[in-house]
Amino acid sequence: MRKMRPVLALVVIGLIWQGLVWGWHVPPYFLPSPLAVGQALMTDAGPLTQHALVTGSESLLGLALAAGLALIIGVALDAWPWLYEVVYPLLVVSQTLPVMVLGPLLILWFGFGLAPKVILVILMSFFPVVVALVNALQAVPTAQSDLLATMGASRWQIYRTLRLPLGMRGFFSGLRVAATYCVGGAVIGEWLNASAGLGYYMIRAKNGFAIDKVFAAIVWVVALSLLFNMLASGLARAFQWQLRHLH
Amino acid sequence: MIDLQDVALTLAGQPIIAPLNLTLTTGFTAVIGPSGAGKTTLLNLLLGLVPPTQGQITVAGTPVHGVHAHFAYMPQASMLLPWLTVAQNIALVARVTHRPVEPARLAAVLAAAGLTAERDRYPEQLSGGMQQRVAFMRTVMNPAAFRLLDEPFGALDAMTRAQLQDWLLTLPEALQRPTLMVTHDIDEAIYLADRILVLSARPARVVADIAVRPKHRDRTWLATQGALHQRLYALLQSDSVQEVAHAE
Repeated sequence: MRKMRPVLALVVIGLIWQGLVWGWHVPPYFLPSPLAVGQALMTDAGPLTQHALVTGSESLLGLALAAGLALIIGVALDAWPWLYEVVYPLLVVSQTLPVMVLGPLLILWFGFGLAPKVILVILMSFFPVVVALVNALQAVPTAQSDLLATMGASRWQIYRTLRLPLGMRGFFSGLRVAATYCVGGAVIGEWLNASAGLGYYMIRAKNGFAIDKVFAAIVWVVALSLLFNMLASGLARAFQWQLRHLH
Repeated sequence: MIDLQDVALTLAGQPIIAPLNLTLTTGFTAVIGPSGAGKTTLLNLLLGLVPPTQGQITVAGTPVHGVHAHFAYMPQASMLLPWLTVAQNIALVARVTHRPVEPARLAAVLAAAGLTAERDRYPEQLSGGMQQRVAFMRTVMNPAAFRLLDEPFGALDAMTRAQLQDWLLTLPEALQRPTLMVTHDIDEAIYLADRILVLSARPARVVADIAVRPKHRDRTWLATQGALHQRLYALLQSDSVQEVAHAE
């Protein structure tokens, strides 16, 4: 029953929203009712699914590349303290820059295809993963690494046996955060320039004052974000299982 | 043979270990000293985790520099890897050095530790005493010629600690290789060690080197060692120890 409470809250919010739209006669081009959004989701299910597949692919590709890059750079930052001292402050400062302002430049440099959208996703997803990974690696007790060193373990062995398994907890925690950001990155990329995708669909719907369709696209964005978050959680569980059973 | 020749350590201008000359050969040696005397630092020096400011440490005639694998080391905490089973944790040294594990030897070590039934369980499923036994057996499986134990049972309650001390004495494995154990427990030192080194407060120096050689070592014998306990306690409280502490 406790797990149903958020669903119940959502239903109550939906009812209040529906009541307000009906009661105040809010025009649908300003704020459509939840029922209108539901109707748009049904009538435009085909095109929405097609556009969601495009956005989902861009997001997933960008997220996977960001995760791979974060894994390599995170381990390198942990392994070489001088690299950490040089690069990490720059990484932190780089986060003060709203990534979307780079959109026009990315289009200029990488054209109108898939690349600028995927790069935007990478830029938005990379930071939470690398920071969580580096923090987890640096939280590994020195005494535990020392114990392995006194057993004759090489540096790589210490990473393989201890640091990476512990660091991956941080990696997956960052990945779960990034999984919710990545769809937003792809949508922003599609706003700037695209011929398909939920961002492109939203712009077209907005230009046609079909605000119910804009909301329908938002529902899809939320659904994709939740799906990727669940995927990241599943990967984390699979990693923990693999750690215990494939030794 | 472990040989410390004029080994001293100073950190941030503070002398931690006064020049030490010490030879450790066979048997079980316990190191006791006031809290913060530098007992664990002495182990870190031996392990190569901290380089001495002066002097030289040699193990079997070879000078040691940096971290090395001459010692089988048991830290204060069990430090078991939570994703490895009991058997895998015990055989960790073989895993990291790519050496094969002899199933018969592993089975014997598990049996000696009373952990045969727990071999496929994970550390979180074990009691604190069991975890320390796994950690000790991980040290036993390390083929290094010397053992260093840093307060191996210090984190346990008095009853479990006493049980593990008794258990340790029943293990032929425990007594075969030269062992240096740091402890803050005077009775533990008397009960387990053939030789007790008493360190002063910082900077640590050896203020007493006492041989303990009973014919039969058990709790009844330990109960008769009140005089030795008093002597060690007095040494830890002595002016020489305190003076150094005050001079810090």
